[in-house]
Amino acid sequence: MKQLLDKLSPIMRPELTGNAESPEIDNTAYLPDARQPLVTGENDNTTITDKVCQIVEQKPTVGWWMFFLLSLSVLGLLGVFIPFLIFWGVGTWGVNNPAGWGYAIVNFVFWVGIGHAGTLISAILFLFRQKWRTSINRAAEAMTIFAVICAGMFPGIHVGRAWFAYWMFPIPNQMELWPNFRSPLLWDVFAVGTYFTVSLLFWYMGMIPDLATLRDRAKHSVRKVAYGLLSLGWTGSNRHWHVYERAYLLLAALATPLVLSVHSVVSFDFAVSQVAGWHTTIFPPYFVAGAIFSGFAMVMTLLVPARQLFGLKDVITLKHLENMNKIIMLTGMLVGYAYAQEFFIAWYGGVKVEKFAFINRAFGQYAWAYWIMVSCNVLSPQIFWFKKMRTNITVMFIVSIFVNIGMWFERFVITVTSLANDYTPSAWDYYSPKLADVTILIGAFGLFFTLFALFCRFLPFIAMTEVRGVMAEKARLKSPPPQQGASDSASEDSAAGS
Amino acid sequence: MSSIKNKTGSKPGQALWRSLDEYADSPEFRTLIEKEFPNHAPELFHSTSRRHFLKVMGASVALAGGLAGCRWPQQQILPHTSRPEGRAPGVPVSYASCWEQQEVAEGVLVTSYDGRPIRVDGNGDHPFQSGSATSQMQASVLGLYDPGRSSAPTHRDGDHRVSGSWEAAAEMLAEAGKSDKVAVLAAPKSSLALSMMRKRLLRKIPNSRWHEWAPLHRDSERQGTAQLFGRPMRPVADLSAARVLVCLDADPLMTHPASLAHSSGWASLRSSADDDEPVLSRVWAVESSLSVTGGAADVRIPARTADIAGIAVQLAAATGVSLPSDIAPIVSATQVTDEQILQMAADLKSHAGNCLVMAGDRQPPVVHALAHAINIGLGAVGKTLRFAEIENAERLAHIDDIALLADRIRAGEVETLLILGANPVYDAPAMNESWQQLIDRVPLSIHLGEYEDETAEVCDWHLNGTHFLEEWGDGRSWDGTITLRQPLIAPLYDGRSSIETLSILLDEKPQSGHDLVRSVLESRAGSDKDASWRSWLHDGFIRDSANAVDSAPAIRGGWGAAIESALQVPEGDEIVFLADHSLFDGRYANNGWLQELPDPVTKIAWDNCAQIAPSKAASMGIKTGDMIRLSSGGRELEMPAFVLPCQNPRTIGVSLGYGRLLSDRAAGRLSRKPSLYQIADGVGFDSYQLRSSEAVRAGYAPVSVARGSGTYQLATTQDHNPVRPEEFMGDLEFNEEQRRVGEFARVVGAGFTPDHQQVAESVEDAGPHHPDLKSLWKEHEYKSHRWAMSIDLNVCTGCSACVVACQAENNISVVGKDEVAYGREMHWMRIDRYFSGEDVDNPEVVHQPLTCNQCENAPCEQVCPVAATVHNEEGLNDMVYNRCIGTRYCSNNCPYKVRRFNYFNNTKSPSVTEKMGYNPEVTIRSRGVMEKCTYCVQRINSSKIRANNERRKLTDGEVLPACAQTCPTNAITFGDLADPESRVTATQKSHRSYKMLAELNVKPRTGYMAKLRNRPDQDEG
Repeated sequence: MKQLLDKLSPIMRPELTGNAESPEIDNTAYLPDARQPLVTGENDNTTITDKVCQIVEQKPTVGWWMFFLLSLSVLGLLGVFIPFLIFWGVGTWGVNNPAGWGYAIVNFVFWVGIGHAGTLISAILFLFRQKWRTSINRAAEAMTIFAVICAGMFPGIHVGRAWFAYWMFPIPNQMELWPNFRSPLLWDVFAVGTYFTVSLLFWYMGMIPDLATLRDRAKHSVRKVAYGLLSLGWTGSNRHWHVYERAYLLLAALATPLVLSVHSVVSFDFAVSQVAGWHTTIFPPYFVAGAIFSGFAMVMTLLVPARQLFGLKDVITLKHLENMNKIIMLTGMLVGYAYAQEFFIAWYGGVKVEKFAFINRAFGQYAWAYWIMVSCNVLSPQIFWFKKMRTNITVMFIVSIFVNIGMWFERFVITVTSLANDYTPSAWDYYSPKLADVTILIGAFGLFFTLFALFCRFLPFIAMTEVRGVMAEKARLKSPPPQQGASDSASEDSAAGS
Repeated sequence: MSSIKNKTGSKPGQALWRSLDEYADSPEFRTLIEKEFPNHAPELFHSTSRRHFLKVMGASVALAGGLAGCRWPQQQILPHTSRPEGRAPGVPVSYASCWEQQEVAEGVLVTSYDGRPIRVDGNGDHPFQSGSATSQMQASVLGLYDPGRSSAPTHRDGDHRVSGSWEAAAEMLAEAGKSDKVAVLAAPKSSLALSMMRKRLLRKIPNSRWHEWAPLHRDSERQGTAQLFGRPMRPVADLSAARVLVCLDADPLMTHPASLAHSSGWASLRSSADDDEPVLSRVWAVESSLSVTGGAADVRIPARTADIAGIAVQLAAATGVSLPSDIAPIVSATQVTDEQILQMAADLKSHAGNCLVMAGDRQPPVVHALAHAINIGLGAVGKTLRFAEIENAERLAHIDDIALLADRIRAGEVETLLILGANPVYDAPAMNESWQQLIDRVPLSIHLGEYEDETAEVCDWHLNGTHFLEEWGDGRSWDGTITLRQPLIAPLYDGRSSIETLSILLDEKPQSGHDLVRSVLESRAGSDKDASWRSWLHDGFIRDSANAVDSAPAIRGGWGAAIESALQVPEGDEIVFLADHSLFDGRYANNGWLQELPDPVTKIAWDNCAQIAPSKAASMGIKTGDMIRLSSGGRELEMPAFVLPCQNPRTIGVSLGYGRLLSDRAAGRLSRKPSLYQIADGVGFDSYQLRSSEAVRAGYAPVSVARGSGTYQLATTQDHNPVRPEEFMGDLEFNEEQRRVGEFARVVGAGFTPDHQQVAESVEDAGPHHPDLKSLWKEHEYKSHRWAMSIDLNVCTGCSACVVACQAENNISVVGKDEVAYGREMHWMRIDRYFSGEDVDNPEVVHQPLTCNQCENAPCEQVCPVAATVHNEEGLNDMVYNRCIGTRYCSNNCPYKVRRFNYFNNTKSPSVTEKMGYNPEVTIRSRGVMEKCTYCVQRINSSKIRANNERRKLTDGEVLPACAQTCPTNAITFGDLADPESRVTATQKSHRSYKMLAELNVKPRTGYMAKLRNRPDQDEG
């Protein structure tokens, strides 16, 4: 992994100036009397700003073009198959009579789940004063926005008459026809809609000071105008900072319950129905834990290559990655506990149909999917008990991919196995995807990565202002390389202006 | 150049020509034209005269006007400038007519909507039947509008067929009528008019002969009664008196021509079990392949078809029939034990007089003779059975008749062969030569039929026939009652019926079908002939016209001479050829409703298969869908296997009627692909290829089974994962299904009387434990009607007539094999078929019709985000198609899985004729919309409007959904729960009543009544 990234570096990374190149420094060791620095290497305010802004300011590298064009062509699959789907009907998918939901809903829940990490990192960790979040929150939030965009696409195209999908919104009309407020699908519309709006606002608002930095450094007039508009006239005045930080805190407080609510509501799609295997009270916490799990895994999948390729090893340090691995391991075990609990309740509850639903999950026609899920989600993160493993770049990248696969299969197992074998055995059937299912699944990744590539190119990848604020004060003011374990109480203060 | 000169010299060429080649009409030019305009382009070769042009134009105008507009019966053309009294546009009118299969007519009532027949139901006034209809009768209306029907006469011109006209055909027929050596090969019909035409033909043309052929016929019954009585007689059974019924390979409830009368009779001794003194019949079925009757039987004994003769002899001996010769009955190694036969005999004897033994048409004549000897010995005649005289007693057995025709063709005794509705190229066994070769030997062969089928393709002429809804005719029902047929619509494609065609052949001035039918029945009319005719047409039958009954037929001595030979049966595996439950002998193959109708036994749609017993399949390592090679008497066929519990291990059951070739691929001449509408083409496997003359005679044939190559996808609507024999008892899903069957389709013993606990509450063997059921929402209040349905599993045979009736009533789409295999069939109603029991080779069968339960606490309503499925004030769960966006959440949340989704646009481009067949009362659903059973809400509303207009209340039973109306056993009761006196209220209060999945608190409005199985081991208790 590491070698591969090193080989790729020449074509991927921008030309770095100053003391940009710095080796990997292990800042994960436990120091009984001090904190490890959150930014390693010989960095000060200027170098941080330079490093982050360079990604945007320099000409796109060959590597970026390759990544972007590849993602764009995968996105092209959506461009082909969504019109195909809308022209012919959802029969082009593999859904059938007992299994009315297939890949589309699996993908929806998967992407909404991915979309959890960003807001969790930026809002909840902010409220808990977890300063290490500053290096990763911008990218994680961007990932959230793009994941929710991918997720939001699916309810729209999965319905039989996509051109009437807007009927799910409570739009006043002359017939006084309203949606059915008892339907969990309608709650979804509200929950995902609110979550997307608040996440977008939070992300954008947090970006304003950094956009202003880009504006100030911009040389090209188009850039000047664009970043000028986006930075909303930010001058960095004391008053601006005051209002900004109030609003940021308020939005963080507002976004925090949403992190918990959105996947709880998504889980209601299943839990409120009466399908055996869906109708389970454990679903809301189980879904939230799963969402955080998958979200962190996706952040890991994106950041491990990105920090290397954009030369951000000093900013996104091993300590950051290790912290995330710890969360992945914790939430992985929570999910594993939920899997076990489901079986216990199915047995303890005494409902025979439910008991069958779970035995069938593990040993029935979809047992292969169940065991992929268990091995990826429960077993693979266990390797992080070992510090050597959770600080190993290659291992953590592979585990994060496993978790992504496992979490997709979790949604597949829940959605499909329960439907394929429910109450009436005479209707049982086997759901298998068709070409359009698979291409739309892949195409959604194309959309996600295309948006992410554009984000890397045009917006500040790291929250510069916040990172500058958590650096040791000596480091901030162009000082000798920081001593290991050196900490400065001043850095605990609020972020400094540029 | 010489050809041009020749042409100029011989006769005047075309007035205008485009090239010298065209002028000379050279072979090169013909090839060019053939390439440009393949098939049926004869006009290009001939100059168009003004007269011809006008003719074509006139026909086009007539077609355009005629097809698009409304068509009234021809004899009553009425100018509607002022509306005639009693006919309101948009108000359906019913006419009596008759439908025929196996030489037996069934009276039907045809509902016509503005001149378009859209429904066929039973004629409830008919003395021999009820108002029910079979699936094939229900589907016949689609056959009328089938765009795949042949639309014009065609004739052979060199190597291809060209379409001609009826004028040319009439000339040809009139010419043929003058010739000598005419032979007719007709599908047998009970029509008196056809019989009259036959006599006239034989009289007029000296060397003519009339042959009859049907691949499925009841010859052994005729021969058996002839052995016993000296003349063939028709046994007319009354199952409503048969307390004990023994079926020896017989299927009186489904494939028998009198199945409707049998079904209602049988049901009357099953559903009376709720009375204070329950009377419950017992049915014993001894058979090789699972039939509908076998599934409904209380005791089912699998045996080889060949061995049943031995069982019949034993049974006869045990019931006291004096067998003519000293026969030691030997039952070769079957599962049938002496004990079972003695038990059966004892049961028959203890109900002497109220018992009946029936033999099936696969059994040799002597088994029929034995069965009737037992019936006579036990005093059944006059009670459960009467013997009616039949006409045409001297005729040959079908297989002998057609063999004779083959001999006569070979001997050059046939110069003109007229085939009326028969299809020997497809369904007759080869007679040393194939029927294609035999027909080719005949100088002039003419085929009349509804389809340009396999036989039409090899005949010199094909004439397009009429559908029964387009023609005048008559027929005799099973008891001989003369039943009339009147056209509901003028022939859509200008076809002619058999009698009209024969009239063209025989008469100087051809008579119309109406006149022919009327003339043959004239003698039966009273003094006012017009009044009699009108009343016959109104009723649909002639009262008291049944055949004479011999109340005490004398048994002829020496009748049992054939017993000895019937007991000489070969050892080893046998193959039996079954009448297909949907396509019968293949005649309905182009009917989409019947093709898509799951077989009541196998649940396969769009295919036939080789039914093989689980133990046999396990021993050979065969799974469902594996190809197996069947060889019988030098003939070979590869077919997919279907592992069917209940199948006798040494019998392979194969249904007939598939593997049709409706395009002219059949003749092997051209490679024209089947048209879009020739849906039967290439569906399934042509099992007639295995059926030799000997097999037709014996009813079975020895067969050897070997593994074939590859697998084949069978589209089943249940068990989409075929049950694997080696895992049959250990399979996770199978075990769970077995556990749930007892909850869904509850079966109790015959001793289950009202003194017992309610089935719904008897937790021991029925429903699961559940806490007190409380509703999350405020429940609906009902101030007017509360519609509900009860389905009595005790009388449901699984015959599937309701499924087709529902399809016809509600314009349900046909989706085709691939979509059915995907699990996207659209039927609003399905019949779940469950097997239960330990013995895989002979489990018990339960059928459970399932359709929307109209839950009061409907789970579908709660989850729809756009409120497209809502509750109405009468408790119906309404679907608002316009509002549906197709999230399919409702279907997921439906525990019964009865909702159906339009995955594609299934009604995109119906042909002009298909559109005529739609029921205008029911919306056609678009793509992406959910649909489901509505309890036939359109019928509820029209009844309400009618009652309201007449200022009265609805009466119980006035509203009948299509399924309830057509059910041959009246298993479905529909009505208003708000009416304490209604039948549905009574049935839902019955001790046998329960609700499926009641523990979910969905409060279904459909109730089920538990099946009673009257096993002999319960007699003591």
